[in-house]
Amino acid sequence: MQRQRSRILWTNPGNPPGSVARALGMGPRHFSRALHKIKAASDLSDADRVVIYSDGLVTDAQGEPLGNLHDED
Amino acid sequence: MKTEARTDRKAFVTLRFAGDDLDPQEISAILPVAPTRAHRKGEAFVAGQHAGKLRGRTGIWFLATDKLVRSDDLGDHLDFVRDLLYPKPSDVSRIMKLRDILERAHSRAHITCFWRGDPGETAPQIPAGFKSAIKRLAADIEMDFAV
Repeated sequence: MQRQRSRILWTNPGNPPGSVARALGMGPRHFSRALHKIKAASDLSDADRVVIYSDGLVTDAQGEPLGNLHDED
Repeated sequence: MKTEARTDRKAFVTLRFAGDDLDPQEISAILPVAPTRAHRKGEAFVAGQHAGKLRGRTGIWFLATDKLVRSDDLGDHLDFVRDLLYPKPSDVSRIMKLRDILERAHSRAHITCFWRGDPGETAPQIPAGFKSAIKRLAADIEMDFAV
């Protein structure tokens, strides 16, 4: 249910711009660190495409959940 | 004083072993450190309070050094990984056991380096000694550096 209410903030490979971190209420370094860890822990490289939702959920390109940015301190 | 990892840590390293046939317990039997995340392919695991329970896309043993090494110097994080793999400079026993598991499980080793510099700061280099040390694992190194 929560995911249906959330919107997509980013759906590309590489490092998202600072606006995505701001939309999530995260500092840019904290956000980059969290995304790096989620991708690496999912056996993905930085070049792999992920989808980031406004509730912090990160999925792979096929929509499979990988983690939530708000879980990474 | 706050003891948990800082959210603005500038540098850390991740080490992972991954493959569909990998049993992470075999890696844990060799490396004397608790992984940040470990699961077999298809195994359910708790990814966090917000993410809840997820299923492993592949078998993985994953370690991030940010909560283990309290330093913003990437070199300190690389040293930690090197010392984990080589308890003594000439002791290749762990590396050889890991290589055997990876070969048997058709799996790979990967290292990523994260670094965020302050304006004007020069990005660090990966020491040749570290690259040479991980050659036996045939691990690739990915760098995520930005200022």
